[in-house]
Amino acid sequence: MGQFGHVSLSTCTISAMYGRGRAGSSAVRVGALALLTLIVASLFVLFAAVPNAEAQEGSLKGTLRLGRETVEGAEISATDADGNDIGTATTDVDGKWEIPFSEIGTYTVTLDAASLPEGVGFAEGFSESVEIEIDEVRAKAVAFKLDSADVSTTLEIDPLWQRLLSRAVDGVKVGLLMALAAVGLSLIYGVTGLVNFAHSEMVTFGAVMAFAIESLWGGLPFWIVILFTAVVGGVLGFVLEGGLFGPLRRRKMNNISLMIVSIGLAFVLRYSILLFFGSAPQSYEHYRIQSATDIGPFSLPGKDYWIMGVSFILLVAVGLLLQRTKMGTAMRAVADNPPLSQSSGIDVDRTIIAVWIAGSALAAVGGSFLGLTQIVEWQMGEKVLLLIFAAVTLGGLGTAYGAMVGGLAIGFASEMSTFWLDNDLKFLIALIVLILILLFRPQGILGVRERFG
Amino acid sequence: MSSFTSLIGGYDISKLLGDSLRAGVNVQSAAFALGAVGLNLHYGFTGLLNVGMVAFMAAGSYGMAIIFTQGLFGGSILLGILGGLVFATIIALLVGIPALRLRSDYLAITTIAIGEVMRISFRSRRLLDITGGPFGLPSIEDRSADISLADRIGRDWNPFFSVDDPTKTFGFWRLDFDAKTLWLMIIGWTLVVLCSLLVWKLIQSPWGRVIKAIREDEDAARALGKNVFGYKLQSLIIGGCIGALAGIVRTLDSGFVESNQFKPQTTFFIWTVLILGGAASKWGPMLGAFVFWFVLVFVEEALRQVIINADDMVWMGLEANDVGRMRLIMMGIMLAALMIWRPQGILGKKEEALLDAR
Amino acid sequence: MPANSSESHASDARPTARNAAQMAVRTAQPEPGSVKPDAILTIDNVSRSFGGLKAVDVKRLEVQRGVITAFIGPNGAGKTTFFNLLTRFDDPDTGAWNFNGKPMQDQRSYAIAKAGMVRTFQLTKSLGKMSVMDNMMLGAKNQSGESLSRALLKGSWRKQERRVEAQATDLLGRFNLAHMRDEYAATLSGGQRKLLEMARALMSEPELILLDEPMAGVNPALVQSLLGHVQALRDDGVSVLFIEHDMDVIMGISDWIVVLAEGSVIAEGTPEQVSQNDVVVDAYLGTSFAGATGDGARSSEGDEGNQQ
Ligand SMILES: Nc1ncnc2c1ncn2[C@@H]1O[C@H](COP(=O)(O)OP(=O)(O)OP(=O)(O)O)[C@@H](O)[C@H]1O
Ligand SMILES: [Mg+2]
Repeated sequence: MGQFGHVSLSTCTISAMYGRGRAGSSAVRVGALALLTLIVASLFVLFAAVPNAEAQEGSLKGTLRLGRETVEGAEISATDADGNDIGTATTDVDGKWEIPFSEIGTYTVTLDAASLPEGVGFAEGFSESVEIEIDEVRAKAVAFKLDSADVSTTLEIDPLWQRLLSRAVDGVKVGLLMALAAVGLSLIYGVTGLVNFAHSEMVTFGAVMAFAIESLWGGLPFWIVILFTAVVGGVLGFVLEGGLFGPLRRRKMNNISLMIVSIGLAFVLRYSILLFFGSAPQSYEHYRIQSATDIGPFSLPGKDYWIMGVSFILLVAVGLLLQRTKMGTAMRAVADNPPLSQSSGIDVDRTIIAVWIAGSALAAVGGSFLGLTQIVEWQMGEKVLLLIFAAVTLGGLGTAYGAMVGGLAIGFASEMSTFWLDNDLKFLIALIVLILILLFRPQGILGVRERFG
Repeated sequence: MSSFTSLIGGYDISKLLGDSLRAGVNVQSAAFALGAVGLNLHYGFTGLLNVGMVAFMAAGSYGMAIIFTQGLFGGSILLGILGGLVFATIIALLVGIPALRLRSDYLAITTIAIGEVMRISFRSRRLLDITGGPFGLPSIEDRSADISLADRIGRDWNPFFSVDDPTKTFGFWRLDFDAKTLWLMIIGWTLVVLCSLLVWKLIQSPWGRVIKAIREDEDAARALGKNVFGYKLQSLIIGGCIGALAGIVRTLDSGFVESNQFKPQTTFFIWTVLILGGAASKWGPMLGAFVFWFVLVFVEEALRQVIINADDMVWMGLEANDVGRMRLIMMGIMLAALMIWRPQGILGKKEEALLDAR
Repeated sequence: MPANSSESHASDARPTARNAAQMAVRTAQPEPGSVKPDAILTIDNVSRSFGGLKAVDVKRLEVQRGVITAFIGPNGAGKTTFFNLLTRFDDPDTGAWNFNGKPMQDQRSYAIAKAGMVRTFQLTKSLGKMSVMDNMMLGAKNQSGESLSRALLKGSWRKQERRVEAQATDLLGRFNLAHMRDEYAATLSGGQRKLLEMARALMSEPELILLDEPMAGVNPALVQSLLGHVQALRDDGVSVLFIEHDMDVIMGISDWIVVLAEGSVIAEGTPEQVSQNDVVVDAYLGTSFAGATGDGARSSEGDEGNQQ
């Protein structure tokens, strides 16, 4: 990867399409294909420029610590299931080590006790070998627990309320991000009746775009990164509606077929991102680690305050826009009753485009924030798809405020649940909420009863 | 026949065609055809938006594998299959009861959700003893009775297997299969034909008339006294069980289950198979599966050969390990493009597709 | 539609001899909520609001068995909503109603249809990708082949299927659709769809049929024969409740008229009584109509309604 040869691929595809296109066939045909090519091409361009975005292999890695100190010079080796050596590493000044691998399987990672500093041994219950099951070629953290005679490693465990509080703050943060991602999905459903399965890829797209610009021009102020993400997200939304869904809808394609198109689109986007971004998770170079800042009882990395603050402001802004501006009123009117608003002089098509732009931009920004708090990877949208759907259903399909409330609730509940339950089970929580809401209040918390006729 | 090779300037045409054909008729293809038959009943005839077919496949696969490994019924395959079908029925009820009373979008949301949740839950370490957690069940065997599923289906119950020559293959050219694969291909494609006929017979009956009416306008069916919810649930269960059979066939073939076999992309492949073959047609799923796998492997292999033959093994920026990703992108484009320009697929009725636009 | 044709059908349709049920209903008091001698449907306190708008608020209404009851009112009066509520396609805020003495308010819509109270829709719901014949055959009640357990046993339903088909062929003939029997329903014209929907509803042999503007968009000559069918239905003992805006049609064939305005019943009575009712004239018919009743003159509002 890395040449601009990609671009020529896409341009010649476009010309081939124009050349072959039957004379009488509608512009939609060309438009839609050109659109897909455009998306792919833009990804090509961006990623051709990003230096080495991907480590093609996975790696076993970790940071060796003793209490709060890192341990340098320890030797670590890894063998595969058949006992073949796959590599060795020595921890650096920061205690970091890394051993690359390329296949899934079971690996045994061994820390040579003799290479440890004097007086340092393994903590109780931990041995020098760790067996690890790899089911995906990516970075995998391996931890060794050390102990020493003279360094007290007894962890200071925060009191329960403190831990609950910090989890709750996390919950609010994730909730805000889910709300950002969900608003667009719900609004698009409201104005067009389409359940857009590609919406979750907007989240990934945003995160990846933010990553791309950030690694191209490192050290940009984060608000510029956000602005850029919002703009490219909005452009993608505009292109999708203007070039694909809009024309198809005008061809009277029904929403069920459009939904299937959106599933296809989701796969195109997801795997294009994989193709260009690679499977290795990344994090934003310049915002990776931050020391905690204390505000009152909260102790969070500075970026978290920003994320929560900006998300909150964005959501309030969306609320105000919907309530106070002409376009916002139009959006609500169209969501409420498209034919009626059409006949009362609202430009429905323009409103729909606006919704797509705004919704996609919000999702993209949400994605970049998600990437900032966790990691950036090609599957991140797919992973939150479920939470977003649950959020939108909980709030009421088609309502913007419902999506916000639902997003907050689902994000918060799923994050809090990890306090008691396995991490994976948070999706189960989302499903249970989904099923309960469908059983008892299908219109959602803020939705109105489904109308007939 | 084995000398049938044709290398043209570094391109192995025999491998290209042979592998594509092989993929088209292989057990995997039969499994996808089965899945598409189930989905055809759901979407093609009833109009149910099941975007979590993989949940039913997982129910079938895991149901059978768990019953077998736990030795619940003395390692019986048939009881295992039955267990898989029961599991699929439970899933259908779990999804159907809340979602089928509502607009079709809700079923879509719920089915994709349950598919993902099942996959994630099955790989949870808490279920290590039952589902094998993240490791899956690498070899499905009943330890207490010391029999493995692979031996059961590949040897004991396989008319093509002979102890004297256990590696004997059948067929010719690149289309020769070992005894187990051949046997499973026969089982798989027979199931496809039987299930296709079953669905077709159902659709031709007054029951099927109600089902199609629900697809067209469920309020109209309701106004004529049809219990729409009940019919939709029946359709969901029957199609779901056919989907479970798809999972079962796949598991019999691979000999192991693992949660990553049930990623959402499997559902989306099945959708492509169905739309390609022609929704609401009798043999569309079967033909669709063949064409789908043929095209998939053909394009992939062609791309691979082009890349291998290119300078530095890079072609238009693509390297050999990008091929797998390209194929998913191409499938996405194929599904969207089919839906837009040929919603009736290969065998569907064009007039019906056009009626939508009126 | 040309005025002369409506004049002629109005007079043709007027019954010459009245049957017992028709005579009976004429004895009821011409006031909202009046008691009927033999009610098939009795309705209490049915209401439904959309936001702040009270679309339906019917205190009491009885529908006489075996007669044609017309349901009239200005656009937006709540007639369709009222039908939706009675057949439980919509959920009432309050209310109870009995059909043949059995409470229906807690039944699901399909069960209400099964009980013998079948409706058609103002916006037709033809099953586009099914043939006209399949549309018809779907309507028949109690088909054993419709149960999953017997669907595969063709022998168990073949005979019934033939019976249903014969019945459908007969009805299609009567509704001028015989030549379309193998076409996709989606290829029918708007008027033909109205006909198909009505014919399909009749396939279920209902006791009470609720028709939502069945004549809208149907050509005058056919309206004529449709009216004949509706009357024939009544003569077979079927009770008919129908919404209509065309005053000629209403005056021509209805035995009883219920007037709805802003969700409430404002008047009831025989055609003669209603056309003389000042409240109705003010609210709906307009002054031009009052003097012209019986001459077959038409209200202009009737036309507007037909556009729906
Ligand atoms: N689903 C709904 N949501 C909101 N308002 C509704 C809904 N359905 C009907 N209404 C309102 O209820 C009132 C009654 O409508 P309805 O369709 O019952 O009138 P109608 O008497 O059938 O009129 P028409 O003669 O024009 O068919 C109208 O003001 C309408 O706007
Ligand atoms: Mg109406």
